[in-house]
Amino acid sequence: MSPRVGVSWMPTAGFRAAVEPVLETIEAVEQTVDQGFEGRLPASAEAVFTAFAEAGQLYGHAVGASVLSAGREDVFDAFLLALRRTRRPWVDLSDHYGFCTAGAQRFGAPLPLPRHPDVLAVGRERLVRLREAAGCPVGLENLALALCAQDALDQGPMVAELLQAVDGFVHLDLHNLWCQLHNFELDADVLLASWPLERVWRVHVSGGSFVDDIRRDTHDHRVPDEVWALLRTVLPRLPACRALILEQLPSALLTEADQQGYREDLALLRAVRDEVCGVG
Amino acid sequence: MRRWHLTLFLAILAAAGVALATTLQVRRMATPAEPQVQVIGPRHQAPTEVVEVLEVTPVEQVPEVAPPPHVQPRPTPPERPVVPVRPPRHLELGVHPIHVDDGELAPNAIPELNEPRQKPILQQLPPDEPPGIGDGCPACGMG
Repeated sequence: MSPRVGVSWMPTAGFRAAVEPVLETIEAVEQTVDQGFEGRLPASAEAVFTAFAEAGQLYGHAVGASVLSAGREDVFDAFLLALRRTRRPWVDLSDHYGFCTAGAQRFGAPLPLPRHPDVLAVGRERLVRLREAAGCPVGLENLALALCAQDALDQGPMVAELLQAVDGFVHLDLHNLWCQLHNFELDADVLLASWPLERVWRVHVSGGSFVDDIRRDTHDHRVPDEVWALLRTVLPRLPACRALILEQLPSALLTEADQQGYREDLALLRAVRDEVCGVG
Repeated sequence: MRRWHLTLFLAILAAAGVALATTLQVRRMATPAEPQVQVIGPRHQAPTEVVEVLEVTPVEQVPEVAPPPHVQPRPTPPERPVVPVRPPRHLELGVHPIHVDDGELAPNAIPELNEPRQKPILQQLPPDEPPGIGDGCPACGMG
């Protein structure tokens, strides 16, 4: 079965304007679950999440679980409580590899950690609790940020070891992968070989930006050519992939030109899926 | 013979002896010295093959020097995966070592690709009042 083509739904007016003309072409929706914790989702988002959940095509994605954080149990407990309270029938739920809570820092961009048994023990314990709260399979998304080339190459094996505790899945962000290829001048085949591709259930396709020739995962531009090429290369090697999700932040969808570009990226995503998977 | 005769005879004899000795010494110094050439063989023959035989001196065995006790041998570094070095990258987008297939999608194919291929899950959105999340983060949409 070929993966569904979907969008990461953003509950903003700009995003709505971008997707409304092509609403009928959307096959799956990814909900950023943290956005519902405050209980202020607009009616359109509620309708979309309900409709896609009933169709079995609503996927959960979190940003605040911080599965590798040691300590700050209060933050993790609050996250799990909010997740239980706003739970929907997600197909599965992913969060990011790494940690974003530490000490006085309650939330930030997820950061990597070295491959160490203590780190693995913390992550496994949190993943078990996350799965229990979500009520569905859980997985981890690869980070764009790495501290060195070896750190990037260690990420895949470490995620694989973490996921063993919950029989979880890999959420492969191809732009994040390309960030590491670019920033550390890695070979694509070498980096891909470090990931358990047979456990990839979901793929993110997104854009980003350069800062001093460092490629960053900012989700504020269209999908670059390199990521499309990477998708063509990788997709045939993902036998368990269920969904291809286009991800872009609302701040990059404020103008009509940006919204049109987003729709073109969504169409390209479908076209690549159709071409690679033979969907007629 | 008188005594002065004898003295005179001896004096003359001594003078003659001194003169003869001086003459002979001057002649020897005036004559160039003959170079001492050692003739090995007949000069009209080419020298035959000369084999130089070197005397072999036995080499004394140098004992292996062990490191001082406080110097520990350096441990072997752990094996790490070899990361192939790719050629210098260009800054332009589109230049990347990953393979790019031919026949990439043309932009003019996009409108027809947006046609639904299967039964749509959602066809229409309800109105939002107010639109979007009023106080949400403009960057990520979170409250």
